[in-house]
Amino acid sequence: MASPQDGGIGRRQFLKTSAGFGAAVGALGFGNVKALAQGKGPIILLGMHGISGPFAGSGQFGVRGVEMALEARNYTVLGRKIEHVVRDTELKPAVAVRKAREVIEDQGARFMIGTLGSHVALALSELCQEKKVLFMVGDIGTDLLTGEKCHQYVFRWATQDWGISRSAVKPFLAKLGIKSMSTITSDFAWGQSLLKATSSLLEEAKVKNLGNAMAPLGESNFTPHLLKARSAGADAVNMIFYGADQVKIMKQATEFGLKKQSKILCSWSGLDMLKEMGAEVAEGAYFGVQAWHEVDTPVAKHVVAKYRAKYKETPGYQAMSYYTITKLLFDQMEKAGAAEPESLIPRLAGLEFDGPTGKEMFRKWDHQNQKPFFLMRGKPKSAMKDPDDFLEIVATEAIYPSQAENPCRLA
Amino acid sequence: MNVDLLPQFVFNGLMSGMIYLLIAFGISLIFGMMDFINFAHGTFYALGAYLAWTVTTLVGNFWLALPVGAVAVALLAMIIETTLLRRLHGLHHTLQLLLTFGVAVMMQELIIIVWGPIGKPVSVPALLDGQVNLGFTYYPLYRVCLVVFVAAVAFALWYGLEKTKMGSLIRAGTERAEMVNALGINVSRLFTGVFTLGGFLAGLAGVLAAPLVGINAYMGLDIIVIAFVVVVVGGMGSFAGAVVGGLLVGVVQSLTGLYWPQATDMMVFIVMAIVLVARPQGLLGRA
Repeated sequence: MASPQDGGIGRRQFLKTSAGFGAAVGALGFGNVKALAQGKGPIILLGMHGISGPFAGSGQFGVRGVEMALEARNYTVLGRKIEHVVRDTELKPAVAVRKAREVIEDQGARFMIGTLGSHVALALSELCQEKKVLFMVGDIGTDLLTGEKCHQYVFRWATQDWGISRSAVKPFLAKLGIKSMSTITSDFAWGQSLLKATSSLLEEAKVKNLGNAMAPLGESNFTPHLLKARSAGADAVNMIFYGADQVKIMKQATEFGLKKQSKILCSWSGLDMLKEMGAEVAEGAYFGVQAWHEVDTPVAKHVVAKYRAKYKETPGYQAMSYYTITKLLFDQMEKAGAAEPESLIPRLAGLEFDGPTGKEMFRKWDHQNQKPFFLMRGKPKSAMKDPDDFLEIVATEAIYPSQAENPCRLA
Repeated sequence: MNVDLLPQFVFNGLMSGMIYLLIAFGISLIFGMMDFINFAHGTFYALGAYLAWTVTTLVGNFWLALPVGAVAVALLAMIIETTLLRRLHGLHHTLQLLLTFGVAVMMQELIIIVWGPIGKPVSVPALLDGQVNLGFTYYPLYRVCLVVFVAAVAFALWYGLEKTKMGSLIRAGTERAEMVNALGINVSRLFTGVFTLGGFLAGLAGVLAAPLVGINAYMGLDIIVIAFVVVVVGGMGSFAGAVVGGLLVGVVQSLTGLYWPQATDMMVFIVMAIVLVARPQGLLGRA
């Protein structure tokens, strides 16, 4: 180190300056942590949402649902401010974990809400287990989340893939007398999970499985897969896609006349996707839906009315689900009189509540929400009462893996 | 081995390739003339698609959307070139590349602000709805007509580049911009013309693709990657190369879908890598 005589700062000066600087930073940091520990600082709700990329429409509904629930309680709980810190996962696990870790470590977040993309959710769930952060998951399907990879700190609202296959695909097969099915699947964690659940169902139901084609996530040209499905000549084609991918494959399937030859099922859809594909494409096809804005429940009606008043458009089910679980989280926090995940987990596990589909419940032993799932059919454009009246209900079921069927054992 | 499906998959690949051509032409032209990849090209394409939705929603006429979308995007391209890119003429091409990247990101966000984050639907025009029986397969009528239209555009471009004075200037500019400048031709205006034409082609492609894909703010990213591969495989700056590259990429994608569906994207990049190793200038590019 250069000496003062050489124009450099001396060692003593350097040490003094560093110590002073370090003390200042430490005081600030320690002050914040101390404030948090004493329950004086804001409660950070880390929103890990997919707000860019192919699922961005769904991501927006989710963020707005959280915001609406927080607004309803004036961003306050237990006399403390709630800060909704939103981070875009970009649908990439590594990016999501990095961003989440920063907020957890730098701002002391102990509550996380989100997300989109099962591959992202699994990575974030692992982080939450490590950091003991309570993760309220809205919109994720992989069976692993509340199955093999379950843990105390994660709760999931959406019906998971096994439930979807039994609650939507099974009635679809039964009601339409389907004897054979082929699948086209989005090649990532969720697609693989739902494909596995669907394949096992086809075996149980003794429906001929005419094969599967995997398509990369974000594919733009599905024509080879559709030609193959058309050649297979199955009674039904199950398209396991979400977001912009679902829209593209449905448009191209309609173009190629696949709807005329086979019944089409998209196991998991939503209003954002239906708006993008349009009524002509949705007509006559079948869709699995987690919740629907026209379902007659107090929560659905309340959220839809508030959303329409604020945003001048109809919300997808994501707004309803995130509104519900955000409200649930902070209501329970208020009742518990405490803002630590460890105080809330026992309250949430086994909790029955009013959700957008009706009476819902977080199961004690896997933290999976047990609720109805809807099989719906696309209406002809002439039968639509308004521009968002895309679907009519065909079946409503709530079939979930039993404790014996699920490897998760939290209670 | 699914051999009897081969003819329809090869045909499908050729059809898909023709659609890629329209995007690839613009990139190839701009690269050939201005020596950089226009990253905003994909967003021009997305803008064309959104304008297709706007026009069809307002007046219910898809055919009107074609000239409106193409011309509007061309005008935007012209404005961007004259107000922004021109300031970087003579400077390192990396700066132009960075600028168009910034324009692309900015335009993508503006699309979300104006039209919202949820995508928009455009239907196939009623006149071209349905499938046509080609003997060995049933194929969407819209796509068949689209391919014929793209072939006509390709011919018009070829004619313009090969048989007109302007075309000869553009070709000369792609080979020796300094010499063309030295001969008293206003190369800046030539650049503007080429960039505008590239924008026109991207906007036109966006309108035509709108009924085939979901329109969303990120659709430009989907197409720019594949278009880039087409141009690299065919040869940067080569018109014929864009044609060959497009058809090859389309067929490879289609046949991979038949035999190894999860590798449709990967195989396209493998082909690009093989071409780059064997012939770095592309199949029909200049050495």
